[in-house]
Amino acid sequence: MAAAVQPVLETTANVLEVRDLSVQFRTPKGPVMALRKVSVAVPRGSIVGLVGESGSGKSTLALAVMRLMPANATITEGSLRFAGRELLTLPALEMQRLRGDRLSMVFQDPMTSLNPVRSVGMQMVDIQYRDRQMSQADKRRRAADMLRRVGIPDSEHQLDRHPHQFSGGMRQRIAIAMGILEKPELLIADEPTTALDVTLEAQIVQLLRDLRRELNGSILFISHNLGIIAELCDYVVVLYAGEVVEQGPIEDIFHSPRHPYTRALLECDPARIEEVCRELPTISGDVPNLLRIPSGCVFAPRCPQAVDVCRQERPADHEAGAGHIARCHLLRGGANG
Amino acid sequence: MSAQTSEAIVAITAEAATPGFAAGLLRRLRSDPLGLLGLSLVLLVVFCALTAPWIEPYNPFKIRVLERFSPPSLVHVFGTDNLGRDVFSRVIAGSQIALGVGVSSIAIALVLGLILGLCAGYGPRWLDNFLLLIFDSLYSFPTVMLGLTVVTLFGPSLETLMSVVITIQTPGYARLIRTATLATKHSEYILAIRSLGSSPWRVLLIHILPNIIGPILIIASMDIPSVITLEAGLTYLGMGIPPPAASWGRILQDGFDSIRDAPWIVIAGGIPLILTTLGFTFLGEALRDLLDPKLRRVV
Amino acid sequence: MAEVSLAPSQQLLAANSDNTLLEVNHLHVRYPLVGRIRAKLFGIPNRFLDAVLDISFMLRRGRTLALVGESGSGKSTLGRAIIGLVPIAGGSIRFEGAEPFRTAKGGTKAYHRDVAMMFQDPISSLSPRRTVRSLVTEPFVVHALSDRDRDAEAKRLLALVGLPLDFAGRYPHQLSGGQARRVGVARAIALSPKLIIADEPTAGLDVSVQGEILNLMNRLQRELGLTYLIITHNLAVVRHVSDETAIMYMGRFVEHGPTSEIFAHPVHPYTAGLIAAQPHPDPAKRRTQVALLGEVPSMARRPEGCEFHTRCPGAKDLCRQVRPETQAISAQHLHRCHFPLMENLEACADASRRVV
Repeated sequence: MAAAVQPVLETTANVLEVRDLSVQFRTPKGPVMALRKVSVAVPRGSIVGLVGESGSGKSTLALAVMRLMPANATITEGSLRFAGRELLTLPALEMQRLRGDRLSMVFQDPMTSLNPVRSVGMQMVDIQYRDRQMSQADKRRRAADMLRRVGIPDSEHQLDRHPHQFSGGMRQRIAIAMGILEKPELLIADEPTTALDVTLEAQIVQLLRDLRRELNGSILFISHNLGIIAELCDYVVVLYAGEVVEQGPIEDIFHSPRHPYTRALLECDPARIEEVCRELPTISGDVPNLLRIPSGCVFAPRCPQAVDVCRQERPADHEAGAGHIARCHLLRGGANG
Repeated sequence: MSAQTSEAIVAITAEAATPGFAAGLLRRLRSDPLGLLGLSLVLLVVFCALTAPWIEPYNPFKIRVLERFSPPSLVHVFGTDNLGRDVFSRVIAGSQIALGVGVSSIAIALVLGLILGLCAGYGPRWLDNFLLLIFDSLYSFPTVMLGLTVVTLFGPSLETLMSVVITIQTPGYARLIRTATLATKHSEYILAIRSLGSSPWRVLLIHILPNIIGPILIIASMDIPSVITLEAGLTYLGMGIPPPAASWGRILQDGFDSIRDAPWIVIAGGIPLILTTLGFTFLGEALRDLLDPKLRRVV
Repeated sequence: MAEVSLAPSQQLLAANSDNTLLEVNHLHVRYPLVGRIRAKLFGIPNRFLDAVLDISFMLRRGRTLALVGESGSGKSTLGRAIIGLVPIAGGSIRFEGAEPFRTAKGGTKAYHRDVAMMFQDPISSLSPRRTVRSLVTEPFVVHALSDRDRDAEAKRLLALVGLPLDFAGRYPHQLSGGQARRVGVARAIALSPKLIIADEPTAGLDVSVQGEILNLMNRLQRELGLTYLIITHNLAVVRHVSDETAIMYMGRFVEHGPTSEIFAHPVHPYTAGLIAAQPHPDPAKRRTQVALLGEVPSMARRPEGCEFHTRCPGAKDLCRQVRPETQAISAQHLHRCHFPLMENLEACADASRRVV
């Protein structure tokens, strides 16, 4: 097996570098390798989209970076470097200092990710606990400013309200406000718009675009919605059943995808199909059972272009262009593959 | 009935609504030593109650005045009481009453509670409000006072005792069932069944009931020792089942009267009570822990 | 406002009236917020939340109508009212000419044989302690059709939806989302209904497997002569699978017409906004402007006049005062707007002139 080709943006201009990360879950039915040799890089000031369907491991990756995985999960190999520091060997206290300050996360469901019994203002002041010099009043002002920035009108008064008094769209804005309050270097957004209506989704996407320009931070944006990824991201990483099957600049991924899964995924998106058709394309079969990962390429059982070697050998990462990598046997033989 | 219990019921109802739940419980019970101890004690009492007529060494009612107050010996394991009756046989006979009263009154209370709770949870709003009013009033009655009052009014007997137990326990179960029904009523699968045109009875009995009954059964079984203790207490106070019934409370009372002459009678009457209560409590606790840690703090 | 001569189209419609499966007229559905007594005591003037207001439409046999709306649009309530899960406060529902909810008990039973519903969450819409076999044959038991062989029916239904026979013994928690959806479909077609109401049939399904369910529903429509009412917020799917689309906002239809026309020439600003808000999976087609600002107002505090005026980019004084009535561009294409989008209006008028 050829040595894995590293993601091309290998400089310290990466705020996050995940290299060959593997995560295993202990379940009553046996060990599940939820992530296998995953390598992702997030350059500073960019938005990297993580695309995957159910069982792809995208949420696991997010939680792994935040070091917030459940007790039955272990990182069996790999490295996680945040702003040059290795997170896997970092003491717990140091990690806690990073969270909320330089590294923060926005979750999918704003109903459960905000504390229902504390007012929004109190929660936003709590986040600023590290700043011992600032007065309570100043912290409140910062919070109100941030709420206004994310589009919540009359923010001074809204600080005293509780999450359940806001609508879903507003709650997600609050969650984003809390996530960026301390101007993190990396914001991980795990499906932040999935629970929202499409018009609200569009507003949140615009908000993130504006914020990114202002804050010069980076975003790791996780979603299963290809349309949103196309709207927002500079780079795309495609996950399938715990492996990165393709990654690269957004134009490459959407206009010249090289991995059969990426191709099939794009073809299946009804929004991409110009002509009205009653028979929609699908990818036959099911996501593999992670308890019994097939030998060879993980996508081979469902791949329309699979050949014998695909079922026998694990494919290596092959370069398909500048910064564009696909894990597929069919690319062997050079970048023209 | 606290809000926490309701919330916990909702939580475990969701979890318990999967088949294979009972088998999983039994499997996990094996690793809990106290639970196993509890299970053994309960099984012992059940065994005695079921086989009493065959394993009693003597007739529990046979009076042998000549042998009164014999201390424990190989002939009479627990000695004899003031009328020369073999205490061991009386204890075994008493297990029948204890379990009989305990299990049957809880069972009847459970059935009544089921009917009322299902109606309150699934029926019209006014019915729910009306039944809730009844439940809450009954629920707030102090148990022993109610027991004593009823017994004083109607005289001590097995039936009176059971009516008291049923009256006290039914509102609690009805409340639990009502909460679980309310929680389940809005589930999508219930909507789906209703959309097929199913009658409310079918919805209640075939779809709601099986999904809520599990945790309720466990909670009810944990009430059995308190009923047994109540019976013993009332009988001890002279308000329970009248003689010559060999209930444990009766043995205790007789033993108390003759505590100077024959202290072993009180001990003999007390031990089965303690063991049964402990057994059910351990078993119930273990099952409760297995169900949901949240429930442990609440019920 | 350009008025198109309706007479020939109306004649066409009249000729097809016996082809009309479902006819809904001025339907009104509401939920009580407080009890009757409390409302009297505290003098609360309106104790109801109006979820569905003045909905009228006709659904012909063999067609697929998509009800599109965001959260708070009332589309799920409308679906539930049609199947009879929520009571109707006003208006009427006619199925094959008869009103099932007004007649005696027998009428409702027959109605539930002819109309079935598929629910949004595939797994929690299946009773957790019943096997697949029991679930798909439940309709037979409910309707006391005991002469049917349950095993044979279960086999037939599983085969129709493409599930292997050994799934009959499984429980809902042992199924994947897609498999559970198929079980839902099998249960819905058990009694050979005429109309199926599908509430978000693609919710929770990965894009790569959404097509399976939709293709299955399409095939069954052809094989069994089904009519579909699909409730969804997924416009991309609607464009491909439905013949007609109705857009709902705060309980009313704001636009209703042939799907192709709605997508090509949306006449109502909300429809145009919804379509524009759909992200396109192509970085070259990024939008620079947000289509619609603000959020759907709460149904408890409805805006005056046209309820969309709070978010409408083209709102004028009239919109804030007077609620627009339903207007027709053609017999099939209706809308509720004082100032519909002119270019599209003309395009639609052109199209229907060509047809007529």
